[in-house]
Amino acid sequence: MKKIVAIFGCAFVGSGLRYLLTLPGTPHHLTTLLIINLVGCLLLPLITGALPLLVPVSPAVVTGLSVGLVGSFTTFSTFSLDSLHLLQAQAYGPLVLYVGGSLLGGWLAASAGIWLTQHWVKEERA
Amino acid sequence: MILLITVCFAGSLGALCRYGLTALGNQLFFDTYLPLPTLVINVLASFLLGIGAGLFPATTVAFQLTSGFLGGFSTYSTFTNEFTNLFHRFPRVAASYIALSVVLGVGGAGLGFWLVH
Repeated sequence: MKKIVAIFGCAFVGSGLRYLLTLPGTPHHLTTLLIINLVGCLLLPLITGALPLLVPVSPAVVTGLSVGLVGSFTTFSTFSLDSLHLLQAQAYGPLVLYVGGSLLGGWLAASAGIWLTQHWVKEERA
Repeated sequence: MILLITVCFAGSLGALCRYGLTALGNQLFFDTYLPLPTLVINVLASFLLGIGAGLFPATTVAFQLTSGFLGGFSTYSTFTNEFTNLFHRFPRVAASYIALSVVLGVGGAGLGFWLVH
């Protein structure tokens, strides 16, 4: 039950942040969404791996922040729809940049997060 | 302001649906390396957002609410961290996971859009 409440509250904030950053009419929609998704990829391993080592947090808080906050802040559905729009507009250059940037950038961001987490785990144990 | 709170609420409901479905999926597909729950959730969310985009213009409240709910339901950060972790142990499974997610996600959005437009 604690986890449900934590996810609900954290997702409320995560969804709101993404909504405010990508309001209709906001310029650079694709770049903003790309950055949102990459920031989430970096934060997720830090929250699940490093945060519990650095500060005393309950499992419910970790679930809330990871599943709720970061999970709702990032989005796959809008990534798919944006890619579809680029495909329909035959904007192949931006499409390759957007999809490639999301995948490659996501991999780099997640790897950085995982690496930093492992680094902290070693420091804690040393 | 009311729209913002409603979008946040929709996102929270989406996140709880994702949490519940992932827990259920992990019990059903426990012996697969491919993260099926996230794949199914992300493809389904893309399909539904395609329907939303076909029905409502992007500036409407209806589309904002659909996008809010599905934004909370789908997730990019978990998808990326799953394939990054898979890369080290099972590179082929990781590559399949990426290809399936992107092709079925964009294809699903296209199918949803085409069905209602």
